[in-house]
Amino acid sequence: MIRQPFPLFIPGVRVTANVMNARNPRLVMMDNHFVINNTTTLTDTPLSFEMDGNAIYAYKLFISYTTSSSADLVYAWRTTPGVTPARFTHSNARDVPSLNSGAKSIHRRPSTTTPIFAGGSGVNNFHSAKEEGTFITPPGGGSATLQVAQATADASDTTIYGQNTNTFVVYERIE
Amino acid sequence: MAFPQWRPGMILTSDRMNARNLYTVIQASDQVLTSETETYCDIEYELEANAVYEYTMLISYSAVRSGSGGAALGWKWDVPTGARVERFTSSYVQNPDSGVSSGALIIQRRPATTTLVQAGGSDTSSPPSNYHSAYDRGVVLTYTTPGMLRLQVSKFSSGSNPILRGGNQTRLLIRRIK
Repeated sequence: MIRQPFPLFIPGVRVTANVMNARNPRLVMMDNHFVINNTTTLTDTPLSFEMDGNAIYAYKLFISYTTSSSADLVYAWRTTPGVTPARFTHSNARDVPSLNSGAKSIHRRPSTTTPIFAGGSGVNNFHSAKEEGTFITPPGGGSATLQVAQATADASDTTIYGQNTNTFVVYERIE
Repeated sequence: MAFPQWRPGMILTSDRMNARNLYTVIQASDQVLTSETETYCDIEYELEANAVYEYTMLISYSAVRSGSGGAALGWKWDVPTGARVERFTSSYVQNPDSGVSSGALIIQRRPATTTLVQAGGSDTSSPPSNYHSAYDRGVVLTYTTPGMLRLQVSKFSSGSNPILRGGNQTRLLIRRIK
């Protein structure tokens, strides 16, 4: 089943700045690092974006993080009711031995609020997790906010990196 | 050269404005794969001749691990004469650890258009219920013959049936770039 693309131009339609801008990919990044410890409760990060109503967006999420292998990271979305992603996730399994040891990967298609593990190998080792897919929105539109927690509560810091486009979302309206 | 290519003085037509849209093709409902012979699903898209498309195939599926008597999902492409898919795939091996979040060894391949690629599941009993993802990205190049790009799926080996997930699940994102 092929969905109708956005914006769809038809002969005679006026080309406005709004229409021309509508399909531009948009970048949302975190301005600062986000640090958590001693918690397994999902917490809002500053990474949040708004979407129009009755729309479909394609998105890619890139998470830059450090965490100890005893804590590990989990992440999920908090959305306005009706804002529903089709998430396709790719992340390290838990308890990564070391920075360049490699690890098993988790490929999932989870629901909106399902915490996804992203394993770490130490508080100074930068790893990455990726997610892509689509968001469908209800008539009133709404927002999506990235949430994070530790998989196991630990005194060491788990850090989601901001600045310099470390952790970011690129999204564009496609319907 | 990018597509569509704009030149000074050109008339702005709706066809050209629409030409670069990103299209979504979705699998409407679950499809249980009962045969080792490849079959079509809902993922299909009409290709123009002498064109290049960039695509991302996001596959949502469930399968029982081979060590528990299950079969992986297999997938490949069917294209018009002369066309080819330059594929870059990432998927689970056939027999990962059980558990939806255990993780697995990953197969990173650059297979031919019609090479069947496997994606294993983490369930231990049938029907499987763990939702996993597999990825196929790259470009599609067509020659002089236009026609349909079609995803073909199958049960990769003997064993209990894998499921290609539909609804807000499996989807193809594709756009013409040349």
